Amino acid sequence: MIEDIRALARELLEKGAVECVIGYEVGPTGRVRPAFVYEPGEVERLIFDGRCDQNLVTYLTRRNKPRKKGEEVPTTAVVVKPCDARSLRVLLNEHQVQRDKVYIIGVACPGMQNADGTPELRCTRCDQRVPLLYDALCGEPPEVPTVRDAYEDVQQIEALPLEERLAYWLGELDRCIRCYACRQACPTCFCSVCEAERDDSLWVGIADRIPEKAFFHIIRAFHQAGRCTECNACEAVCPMGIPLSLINRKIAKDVAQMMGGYRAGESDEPTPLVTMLTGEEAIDEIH
Amino acid sequence: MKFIEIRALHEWLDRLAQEMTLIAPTAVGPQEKAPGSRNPAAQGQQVFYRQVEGAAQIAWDFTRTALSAREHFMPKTETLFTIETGPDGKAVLHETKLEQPRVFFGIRPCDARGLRVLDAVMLGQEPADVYYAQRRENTTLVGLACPQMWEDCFCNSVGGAPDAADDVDILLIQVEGGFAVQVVTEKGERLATGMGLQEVEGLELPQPKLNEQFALPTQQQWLASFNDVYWQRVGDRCLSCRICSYVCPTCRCFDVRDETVVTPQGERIVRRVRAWDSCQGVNYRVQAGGANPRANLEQRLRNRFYCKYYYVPIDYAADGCVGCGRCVTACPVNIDIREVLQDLARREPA
Repeated sequence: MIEDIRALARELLEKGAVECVIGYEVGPTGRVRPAFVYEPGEVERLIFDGRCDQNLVTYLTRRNKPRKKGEEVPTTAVVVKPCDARSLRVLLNEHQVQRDKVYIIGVACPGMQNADGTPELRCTRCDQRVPLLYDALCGEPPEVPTVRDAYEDVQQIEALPLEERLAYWLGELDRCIRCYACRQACPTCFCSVCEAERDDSLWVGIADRIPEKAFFHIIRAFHQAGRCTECNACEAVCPMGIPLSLINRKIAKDVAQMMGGYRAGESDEPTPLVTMLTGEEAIDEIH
Repeated sequence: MKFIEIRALHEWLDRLAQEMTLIAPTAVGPQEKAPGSRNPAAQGQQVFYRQVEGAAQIAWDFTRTALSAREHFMPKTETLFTIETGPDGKAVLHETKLEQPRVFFGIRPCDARGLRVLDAVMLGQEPADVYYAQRRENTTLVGLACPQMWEDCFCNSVGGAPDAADDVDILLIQVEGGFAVQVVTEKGERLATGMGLQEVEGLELPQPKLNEQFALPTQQQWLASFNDVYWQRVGDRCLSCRICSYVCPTCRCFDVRDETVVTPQGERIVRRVRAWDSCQGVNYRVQAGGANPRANLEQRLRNRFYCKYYYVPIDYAADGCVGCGRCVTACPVNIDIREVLQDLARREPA
């Protein structure tokens, strides 16, 4: 598969179809990380295997803006797994990325692995092996059984008495340091100024105390309702090891129950929970 | 060489915890998480410097703590003062009360060295920051030498050492059956009187295993690289989160705001809050008039490296980075300060 990705990347860069290919590489200390390849001669840096679990779609919103006033938006190619493709579909639905400015290198996904070689939990409950949208597909769809997500992790928390549930979350959120890595890694958290970071503290103060931290995470979760594709990026980057995806998965589960099985990023309809007026489609924010 | 047996050390720590605030490395969080996770923070309990009630709560075999010692000298959040309505209806200002004496046990040499930068900024010029000064004065640092350099550590490349005693009041080095004790300062002397130290002849100190040393960029190389496209390329994968600056022992940016709050008794009061801030945040350099000279992500990322290796050494004559390696381990997209330093150091001087 990697030879397919490299050949395609080389071709796209050589003919100038894209400015940059976003994929994965192995850094000097052996860690897998996002790679930005601008030159056809550098495509050998690209790799793809079970360690490539980051969601690269998160980089597209910032690349979809002109760098200088009047400059044209460059076209970017990006390697997407099935889960990442759902994030991209949300961004397309919400007019955050122009379809003709992104070239989607879809990969048939064998599932991602933990550092110890075991399958990542989220991949054991994934029912997609091929991205729902792509311009080119690399790799053969693997014969891995697909499973419908039963949300067992969410049910375990739901089963706790209210006081225990509260104690659990307060204990977890107590460690939050408001580094905003969850928000920054999230493809569908794209506001240019976050409610938690406003200079006027209109919604949340600057303190790193439980009320402020809980409020930030609750607002973030609600803003993700019907939009979170459960890619796990938030949890994967949390330096305090807080199980953040549980919050978003709880809401995704509720949305699916209430909205006739709606799953974010599976159709080109925007989430039923968002109302947008035509003039506001691109959510071009002014603060 | 002075020496203390493990049991005697534990007993001393238990006594200390009764008498004053004892801060020490301790494991925090749920035990069973995801041991195989790619996110090191999700693998199990993390160790933090926290107040403990005795030796039993101390994590003795930790590598480095998830957050540096900074949080105990410049807390993530502190109330500088409150303004309340007095009985006669006039505003009354309450300053935050003095901190009690405390012992910071188990601080790593790199974390202690990081306090030099905070000292230079918070105490080096009049007026000194009274809140920081109080905490510094009231705290005795008992360092715990690293038996080896851990993964991602590079203290030896930036002038430190895993067993350096330069910035602590007392340093403990683990040896057979206990710890060799170096009493470094007068403050340490006063604390050590209660430790019951033994004098042992011919105690051999272990040599900590070091990581490979590398050369740092020169000031000319830093100057010549400022406008380089290199920063755009590193910035390409930066998420612009604040992990690197919040785990750092020498980052010290803060924000101050006044908040109106309602007390549990229903009174409206004003509190002036100081909290950590970061050059990686989008509004870091926004000026009052709205201009932003660091509007782009790569400019803010670049600032972090220049701050450590160019601005702080020039402005405060202190090393801005102690090589603790926390930012390397914690960065979710593998922006590795060692790689950046070596990339720049390889460049031809302009």
